[in-house]
Amino acid sequence: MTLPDPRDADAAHEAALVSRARQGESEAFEALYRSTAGRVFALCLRMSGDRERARELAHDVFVRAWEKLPGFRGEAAFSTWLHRLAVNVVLERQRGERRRQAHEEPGLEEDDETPAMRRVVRIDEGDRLDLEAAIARLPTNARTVFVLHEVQGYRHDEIAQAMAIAEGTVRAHLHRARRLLMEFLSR
Amino acid sequence: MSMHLEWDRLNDCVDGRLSAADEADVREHLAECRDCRSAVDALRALGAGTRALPPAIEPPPGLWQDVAATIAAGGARTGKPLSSRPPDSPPVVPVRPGPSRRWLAAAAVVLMALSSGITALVLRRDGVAPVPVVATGTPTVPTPVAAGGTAPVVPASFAATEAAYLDNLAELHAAFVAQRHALAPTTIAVVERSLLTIDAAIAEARAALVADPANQALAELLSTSYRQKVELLRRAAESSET
Ligand SMILES: [Zn+2]
Repeated sequence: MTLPDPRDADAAHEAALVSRARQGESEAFEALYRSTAGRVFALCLRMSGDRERARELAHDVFVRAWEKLPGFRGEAAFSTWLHRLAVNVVLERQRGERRRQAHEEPGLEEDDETPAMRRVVRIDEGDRLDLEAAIARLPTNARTVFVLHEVQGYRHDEIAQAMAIAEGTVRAHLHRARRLLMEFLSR
Repeated sequence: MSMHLEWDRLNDCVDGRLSAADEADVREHLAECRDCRSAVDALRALGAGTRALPPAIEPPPGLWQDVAATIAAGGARTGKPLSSRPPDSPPVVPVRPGPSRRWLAAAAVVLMALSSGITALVLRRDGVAPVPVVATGTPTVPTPVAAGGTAPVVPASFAATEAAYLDNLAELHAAFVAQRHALAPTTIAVVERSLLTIDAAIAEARAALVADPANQALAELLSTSYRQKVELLRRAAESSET
């Protein structure tokens, strides 16, 4: 994880809030929600590619966090713990949906490489929304790997373990995601 | 000039995942091939653009209220006595205004979760002999302490939690019955089928907890089942508002 550690003062404040929330104080938990909801929602939105879905996921993340908080012993920063929890909630949901749909394989659908990938793509401030939209268009597994690797900073082996797929498959999804993104963005 | 670099090698190059030998080959090719250099530049720009995305995005309004309502409906956390909350203020589940959520999908998740949960949990407590689970023949009885009051008593630590759930559920169930006319027949059928399953799971978890009052995992399971019933009824009520 590449999440920066909160500064000491923030960390102490956070630890106090966590401790109060663990005792069942919902006001303390709300304060924790206020300071983390934006990041959690961003993660859910980018991993799911859908606002409504992201709302449901973020809801589930915080409900689960409340339930699991008594088991949080403070080995990691709360925000780190919460992000891992969020990733797990999203991945669990995706696995559940895959089981229900039954046809979507966790492997790769092959598609042809196109010359688009050779085009230079510039991404500046004005293109940010295009990039968000392009990420949302990616196939589920490619999007998941891309977001975990490029946005969240997880390593290949960590992603492989979390998604229960081979490291080589992680690499393939990542490369495919980048190729598709370049196609989407160069249109 | 040699053939262009493969896409995988370009990616590995950008990610710093090439072996030393490959790295030398790739560098050599890049030095003389403008196309591949462009591709590497594009990959780097994509990575930089992605890393520059804002780390936070404003969540939709009302999300905290939903989270708070769900938490309140869940009563105390399992393993925690309710005593930290005033005993005379049972959790309130406000019915949200606005469009219905995908509660049918939620119901499906509930069913999946419940069908596998209890058996595994009851049978696999570490090293302890399996707890005999009394299967209920009447899953339609929604509340274990209904009218007759003959249901065996759950441990004291769970009694307050259960009472809060039952208050909530009575209210939500009444709302559901009152709104039936506004619901499509298929919706009613799905809700009622889901309720049967959840009630059966509640009865099963409850019986197991009565037989093994110190088992926190069973208390947690029972609490989860109640919470899922609350959620199902709440979503059903919402769906009738649209
Ligand atoms: Zn080349």
